[in-house]
Amino acid sequence: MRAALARASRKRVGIKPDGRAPAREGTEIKSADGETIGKVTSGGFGPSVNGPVAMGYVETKLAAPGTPVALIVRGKPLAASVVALPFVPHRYVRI
Amino acid sequence: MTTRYTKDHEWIRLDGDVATVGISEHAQSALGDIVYVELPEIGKQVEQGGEAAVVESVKAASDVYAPVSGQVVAVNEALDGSPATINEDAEGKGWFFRLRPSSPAQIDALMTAEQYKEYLATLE
Repeated sequence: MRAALARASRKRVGIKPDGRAPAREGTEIKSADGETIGKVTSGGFGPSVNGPVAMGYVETKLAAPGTPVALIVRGKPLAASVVALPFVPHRYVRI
Repeated sequence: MTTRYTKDHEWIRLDGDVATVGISEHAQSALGDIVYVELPEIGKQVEQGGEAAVVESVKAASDVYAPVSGQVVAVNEALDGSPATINEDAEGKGWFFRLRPSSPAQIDALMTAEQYKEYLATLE
């Protein structure tokens, strides 16, 4: 398992766009240097967050929460950051 | 001052030499809760049927097409802060942008409210 993790070149992360525009599935993720580092697998509007949220795979070295990234929505880069999942911790008790 | 409609569910209302554009009541209810709009830049030249704005709801992103050709002269900046206005008043306060039509005759060729209603009936 540890070996498998060590080899993983990409990691699934939460992504929070800075603005209000949602990034949908398939959106390209770029690093601050403009390099393509991954893709959004799922994204939309999160009512609990009251803003856009997304999830996607990025290169492991850029997967730390707080890493600034750019999402290419309709040809334009939108500022976003890598965040820890879940966006909203659950507040119920499992029984 | 009458409102005309397109088959892509935009409405347009000419007032003097400037026309206001938005999406129809039917469109807002089909989209569901609208969470974001992308408006054109003021001064942009749009072509009839060309992409002019984007509207995103909780369900999907849709393009808003220019009902007629012309130059964008104003955008509804209030929508940035409260896109839900479109759900509340799609054909009033929820307007998207204003443009100066290059050929006002294009507006007359669009559907009247009555014709649009008949058109919607054919979609069901």
